[in-house]
Amino acid sequence: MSKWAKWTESEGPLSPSVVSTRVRLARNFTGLPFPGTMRTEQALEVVARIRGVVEASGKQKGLPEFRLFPMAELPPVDRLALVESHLISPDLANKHEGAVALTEDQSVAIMVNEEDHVRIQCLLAGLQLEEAWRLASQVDDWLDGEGNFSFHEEYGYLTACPTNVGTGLRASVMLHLPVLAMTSQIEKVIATIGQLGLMARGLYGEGTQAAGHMFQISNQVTLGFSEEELIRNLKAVVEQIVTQERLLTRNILAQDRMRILDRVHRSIGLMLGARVLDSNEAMSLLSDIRLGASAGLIKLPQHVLTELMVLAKPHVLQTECGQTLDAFGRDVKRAELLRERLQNALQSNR
Amino acid sequence: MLCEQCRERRATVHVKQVVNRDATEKHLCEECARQSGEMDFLNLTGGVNISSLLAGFMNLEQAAAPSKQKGESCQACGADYRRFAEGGRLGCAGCYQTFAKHLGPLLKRIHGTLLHNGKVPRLRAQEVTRKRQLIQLRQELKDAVGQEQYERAAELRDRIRRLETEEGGGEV
Repeated sequence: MSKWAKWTESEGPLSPSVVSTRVRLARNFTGLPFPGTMRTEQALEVVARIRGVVEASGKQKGLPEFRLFPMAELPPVDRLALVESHLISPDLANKHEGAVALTEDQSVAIMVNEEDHVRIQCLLAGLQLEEAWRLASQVDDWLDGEGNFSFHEEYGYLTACPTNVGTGLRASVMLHLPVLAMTSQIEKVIATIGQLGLMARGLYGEGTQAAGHMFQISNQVTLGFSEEELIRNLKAVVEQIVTQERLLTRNILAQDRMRILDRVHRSIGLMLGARVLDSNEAMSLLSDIRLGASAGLIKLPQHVLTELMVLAKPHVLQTECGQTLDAFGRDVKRAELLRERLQNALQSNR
Repeated sequence: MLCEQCRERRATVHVKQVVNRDATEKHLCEECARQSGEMDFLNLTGGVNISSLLAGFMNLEQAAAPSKQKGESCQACGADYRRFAEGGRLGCAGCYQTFAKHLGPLLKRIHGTLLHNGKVPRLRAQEVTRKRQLIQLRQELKDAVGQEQYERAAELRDRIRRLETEEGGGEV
């Protein structure tokens, strides 16, 4: 298991189409300028405040224990691995006065001094929007204490960027939609989603070119609706998309079973045989294998494939093997690690 | 087609500008376009980004009310409006008050509304509920007057007065 992606250890509801759910809340302390205008000592004060609360976290009933990692104390490769595991944003990784507080299971990450003082982020496997919101809100209450966060009676929670004001909530769902993408229907889905107050984008690439057929859907509007409404809307749309993906998968299997079977097994063959594998190719092979597993063509737990998807990333890969490698070295190591893990998973599920 | 400027690379950026019905066209390569500022509206490394879009919105607001912009800065953090218009980020919570006039229309454009309807910090719950009730009652009062329902209007007015005189009355 890679050090920074524990959320991939389990499978969640609507897996394999839904890979993961994330809910993040943007919050700012009263009496301090937003991170973009803060002086260094003010930034350090924010970190100190979070450190204080976090150190007491183990003793609080019903709350998980957090550990604080200041960015300045993390080696660059670990920072980037955190980004690749979706635990922190690329912006935070570059902030000298930034920090992240993580729970042991890494389901909650508190980003400190990113664009806002605090960004509470809850990351769970599968579709678990309500659970993620509940957990994030609980951590929010705890950090808010006796009213520490900036709140405006009309605009709600105040954020550095007006696109986050109100609830400060951004809920997003990562989806694996190979069949919608292969049949070029995904463009239509993406276009329609914009009309529903949601936003869709390909992860690691754009549109149908999205490497690994991974897409992220999130709410666009943060003001005027309650958190529950925003989440309900997103959930309903995600469920619709998953239904479409499943229907299309069934149709395509009915018409072209042999071709799909061929594609899946070729990808397995390539992954087991490759000695040099770049991350784009790895993503696309994993996508095919994942499709095979979700369509019931092969026996393989989905979470293993999610794990491999994260492991294929350059910096996660290097933290995993504990070595600094150049691009070619990484491609060789990637081929080796993915081959081993896939072989083990296939054997133990035979 | 080759770039009009350098005549070396292929022209991939085609800019058509219409000013008072006079259309001019430019065909440039990416590099010359970037240098000449023709591509400022795009963030080429990461697609269109949120701050450039916001800045676009802000410039619209600015064009609509140019006289208000000059010298306006937040007393709390010193950030001026121009900085926000360019970067799309506010300096502090106080900026929401300082730039309220411009932020109102902007928030409406982004979110379609100006009123938070979600979670309220535990300690502020009572006060915010009262404020929300007041906003709602005032709207109802306006509607009642509009529909010439004066009895209902009087009843609403009394309820509003009672709420207003409750603890911590007035604007917060």
